[in-house]
Amino acid sequence: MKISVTLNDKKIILEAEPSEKLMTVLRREKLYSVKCGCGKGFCGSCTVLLDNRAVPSCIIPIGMIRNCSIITLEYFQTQPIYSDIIKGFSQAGIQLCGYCNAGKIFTAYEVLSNYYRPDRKQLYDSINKFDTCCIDRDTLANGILYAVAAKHSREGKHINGKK
Amino acid sequence: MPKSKTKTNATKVAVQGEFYSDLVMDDMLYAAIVRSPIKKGIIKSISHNDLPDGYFLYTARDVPGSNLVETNFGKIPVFSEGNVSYKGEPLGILVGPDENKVNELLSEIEIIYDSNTIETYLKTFIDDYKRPALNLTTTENSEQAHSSSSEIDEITKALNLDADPFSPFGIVQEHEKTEKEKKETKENEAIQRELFLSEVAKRTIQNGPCFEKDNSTGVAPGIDSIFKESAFVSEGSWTYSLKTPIYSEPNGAICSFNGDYLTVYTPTQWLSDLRRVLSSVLNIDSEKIIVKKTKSNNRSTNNIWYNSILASQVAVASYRSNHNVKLVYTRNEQQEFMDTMLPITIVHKSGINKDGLLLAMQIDIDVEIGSSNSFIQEILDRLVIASIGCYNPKNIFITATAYRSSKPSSSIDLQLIDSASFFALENQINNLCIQSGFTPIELREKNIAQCSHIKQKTPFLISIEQPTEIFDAVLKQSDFNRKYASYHLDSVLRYSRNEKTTLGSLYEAPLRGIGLSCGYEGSGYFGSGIYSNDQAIEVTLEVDKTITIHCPPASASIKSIWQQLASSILKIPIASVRINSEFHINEEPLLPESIYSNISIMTMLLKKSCETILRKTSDSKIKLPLTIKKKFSSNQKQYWDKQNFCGRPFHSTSFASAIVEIELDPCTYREHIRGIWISINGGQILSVSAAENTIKLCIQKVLASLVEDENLICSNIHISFRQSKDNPTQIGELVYQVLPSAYTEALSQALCCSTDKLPLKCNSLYERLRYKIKHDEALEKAALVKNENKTVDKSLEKSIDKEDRDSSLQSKTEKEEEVSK
Repeated sequence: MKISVTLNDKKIILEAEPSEKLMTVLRREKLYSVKCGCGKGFCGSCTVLLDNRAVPSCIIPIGMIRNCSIITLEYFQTQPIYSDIIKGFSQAGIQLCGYCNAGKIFTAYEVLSNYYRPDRKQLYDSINKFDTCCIDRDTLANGILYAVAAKHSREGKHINGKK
Repeated sequence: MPKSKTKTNATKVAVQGEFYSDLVMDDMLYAAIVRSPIKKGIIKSISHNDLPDGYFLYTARDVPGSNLVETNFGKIPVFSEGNVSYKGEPLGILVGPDENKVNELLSEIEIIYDSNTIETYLKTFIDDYKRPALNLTTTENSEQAHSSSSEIDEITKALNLDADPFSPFGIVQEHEKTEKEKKETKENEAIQRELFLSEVAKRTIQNGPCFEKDNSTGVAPGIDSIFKESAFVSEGSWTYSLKTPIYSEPNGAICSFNGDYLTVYTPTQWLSDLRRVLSSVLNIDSEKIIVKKTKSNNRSTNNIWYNSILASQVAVASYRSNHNVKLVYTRNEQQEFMDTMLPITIVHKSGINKDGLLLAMQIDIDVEIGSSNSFIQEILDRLVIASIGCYNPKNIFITATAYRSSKPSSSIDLQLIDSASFFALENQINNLCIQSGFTPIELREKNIAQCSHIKQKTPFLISIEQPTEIFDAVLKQSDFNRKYASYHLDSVLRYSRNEKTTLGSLYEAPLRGIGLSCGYEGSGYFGSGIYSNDQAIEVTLEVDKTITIHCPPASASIKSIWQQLASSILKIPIASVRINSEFHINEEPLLPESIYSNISIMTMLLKKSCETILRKTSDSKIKLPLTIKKKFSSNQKQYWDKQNFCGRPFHSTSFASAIVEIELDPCTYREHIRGIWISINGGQILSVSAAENTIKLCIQKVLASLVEDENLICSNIHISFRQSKDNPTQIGELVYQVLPSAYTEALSQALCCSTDKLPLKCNSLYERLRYKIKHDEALEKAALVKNENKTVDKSLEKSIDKEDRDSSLQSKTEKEEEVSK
C-alpha cells in the first residue's frame, strides 16, 4: 500500500502494509531517533510530532495517517525551539539518556506550544502521559520551565507576555 | 546516520556513544533466534523445507568451537541440542537480508521433538530391568531366580535407584566400598545431580546460645525452645518478585567477521567474559576480537552474563555466512528471557520477649532460579545477610535454598537483591508491633544494635551510623506517631464494630494506613566470588595541566560528580577533567562493570589520587605527565571470614528510613499515596541536588514496579539527608530496600490484613479484602460450631451426671430396702 505523507517537511510516498506500526516504518526509513520502547505507547521513546501533536508512533498504524505531517527529532533538531528546550534541560541538570529523548523533548515542545506560562497542573498532566524512565518528573518539570524562559528570552518576550 | 566501519586495531575496546540497534552496515543480514517450543524434552531435528536464497539456518552443529560455554553455574549451550531445559531455549539462529521475511520464515521452521525427557527414558529403562525381577520371583528354579535378582540388585545399586532422588548423597552403603565402587558411586551421584536434582545452592546459618550444647544434657535446646519462651511470636510468609519496568534498548549484537578479525557491537557489561566466550565458541584467538561496547542501561544478571552467549550466537552466524549479522531481541523476548524475575519466598518466624527484644529469628528463603543463573551463590548469600537487616536477634537460624526449574533464567539485579529480604523482614517486624503493642519505632530502636548500645551478636557486622537521628528526622516530618496511633485505633474500632463482614463499611470513612521501615545499602561486598580482584583508578595530570581519569565506564551523573570532585580538589576548571574508559586488552576489567564500578570505593580512590597529585605538584621540580594509580585491596581475610560466613560483609553502608502514607478509595479499592518521607545517612554528599534527583528517580521506579502494568504516582515526596564528613557511601539503591515494605505496611494497616506479596495487581486489594472477609466468616462459623458442640457436650455431661445421680440414688434406695428387709 502506498501512503502519501509529509515527513520532516518533505512530501513523500511510504510503501508499507496498512497495519504496520508507524514506528517500524520510520525506522525502516533510517530515522533512528524513533526508538523501540515498550510497544504499548507509554514509555515515550518512539514519540513523533503528528500534525504538530506529540504521539507515540508504536501504537499508530501507518494506514491511518494518509496526508498527515510527521516530524521526527532528526528534523526537529534544526528548529530554534529545540535549542530552547536543550538549554532549559541543561539548566535543570537533565542528562539525556539517548533512548527516550524524543519523549522528553516533544513533551516539552507540546507544553511550550500550548501554554504561554504553564502552571504546575498543566506541566504534570503532560509529563504524566509517559513514563520518564531516566529522569524524575520534578526535574523534567523544572527543565521545561527553564525551556519556557529560554524561548521567551529568544523571542524577546517578558514573563507577562508583553514585549 | 551512524555508519560503522570495521577497524583493524585489535588491541582496543572502544566505548561507543550510540546504540547498536541504530547501527547499519553494508551487506548486513538480520537474525532471529529459533526457540524450543517445549519446556522439557528432546529436540530431534530443526529444519526448513524451502529456505530462499540468501537465508541461512545455523544450529549447534555449525558452532566452530565449543557449543558449551563455561559459566560459574556450569556449562550452558550456545544452541541447545538434544535435551532442552525450558520453553524458549535457543536452538538455532535464522538469518537473512529482509527482517520481515526472516520473522515470516521463523514461524515456518519445523522442529521435531519428543516431549519425553532423558529422565523419562531412564525410568523406562529402570522399569525394564525391574519387570523380569518381579516375574522371576515366581519361577520354581530358585537358583536362576537368585542369580537374576542379584544381577538386578547390582544394577539397582549402580543406578542408586533406592535413593531419594532429591538427596545429594543417595543411599548409604553398609559395606565398605572398593575403589572402583567408590568411583562408580561418585559418577552416579554426578549423573543424579545433573538429571534429578532441582536444588542447586544452599546456605545455612545457625547462631546463638540455643545452638550451644548444654553441659548437663549434652544436647542443644534448639530455636524452638526459644520460641516457647518468647512473649510474642509472629510467623509469616512473604513473596517478592519486584522488577522495575525498563524500556531501554533490548539486548542484542552486531557481529562482523572478515576472515581474521571479529568485530562485535553490543551493550556488554562484562568485557572480559564476552571476549572469553567468543574466543571459545568461534575457536579464534581472543586478540582477534574487537569489542565495541555500545550504550547499556539494564543491570539485571541475565543482561550481564547472557549477553556473551547471545553475542556468540550472532558471531556463529557471521562466521558461517561471511556477512555482517545483526540481532535485536524483540520486547517480548527481552521481557521473557532477560528481564523476568522469578519469585523469592521468605518464611519468617520471630519471637520477642516482654521488653520487645528479639530473642529468635527463624528464616527460610527459597529462590527459584529458572534454568540457570551464574550469580546464584552470591544472590543467596546476599539474601541471607540482609534477612536479619540491621537488627540484633539473640538466636538466628537461616536456611536459603536455590532451586532450578523449567523456566527461563531468573534475572535479578545484584544491586537490588537485598530488597527481597528487607521486604520480608520489615513486614515481619510490623506484625510483631501489632501483636505486642510496641510502636514500630520503639521496637526497631530496641533491636538495632547501634541504637540500644548492645554489642552486636549476629555473625554479620553492619555499621549503621546515627539511626536514632534518622528515625527522628523522618518521624517529625511525617507526624508518624500520631497518624499511626489514629489509623491503628480506627482499624481496631472498625473491626470491633463488626464491620469486617460487610464491604459496605468501606463507604463510611476513608481507610488510611501508614508504614515505617528502615534498611541499609551495603557496597563493596567482600564475600563475592566474582569480587576477588582489586579495584583500581588511574589519575593523570597531563602536560597541559588537564586531568585524565582512567576508570571503567560510569553513568553520566557519576562522571559529573567525579569531574566536580577532581576539579575542586585540584582547583582546575571542570572542563579540564576528562574521563577515559578505554582499556588495553591486557588491562580489561575482569568483573562486570556494574559490580566493578563500585561508586563509593571508586570515589574514595579518586579522592586519594587527587590529593596525592596535589601533594606532589607542590614540588615545582616534578615532571609532567604525572600518573597516580590507586588500588583498593579487599583483603577478604581481614574483614570477612568466607569459610565461616561471618564478619564485616561490606566496605561501607548507608542507612535510611522511609514512611509511606496511603488512603484507599472505597469505590475502586485502589490506593492513593498521600506522602512519602525518606531520611538518609550517606556520609558526605558530594552533590545534594544530584543525590536528591537520584532518590526521586528511584522512588519513581519503585512506585512503577509495585503494581503490575500500572504506574503509581506520588507528588508529596520529602527527602532529607543527614550529612557527615565520613567518606561518601552508596545511596542509589536505598529506596528499593525501604520503600516496598513501608508501602505494604501502610496497606496492611488500612486493610486490617497483611499484604504479603509484591508486586500487586490492580484487583489485589479487593481480592485480599474479600478473602479476608471469607476467612473471618469461616473462622466465626467454626467458632460457633465449636461453641455449639461445647453446649451440646455440656448438656450431655449434665444429662449423664443426672442419669448417674438417678441410678446411684436408685441403687442406694434399693440397697436401703434390702437392708430394711
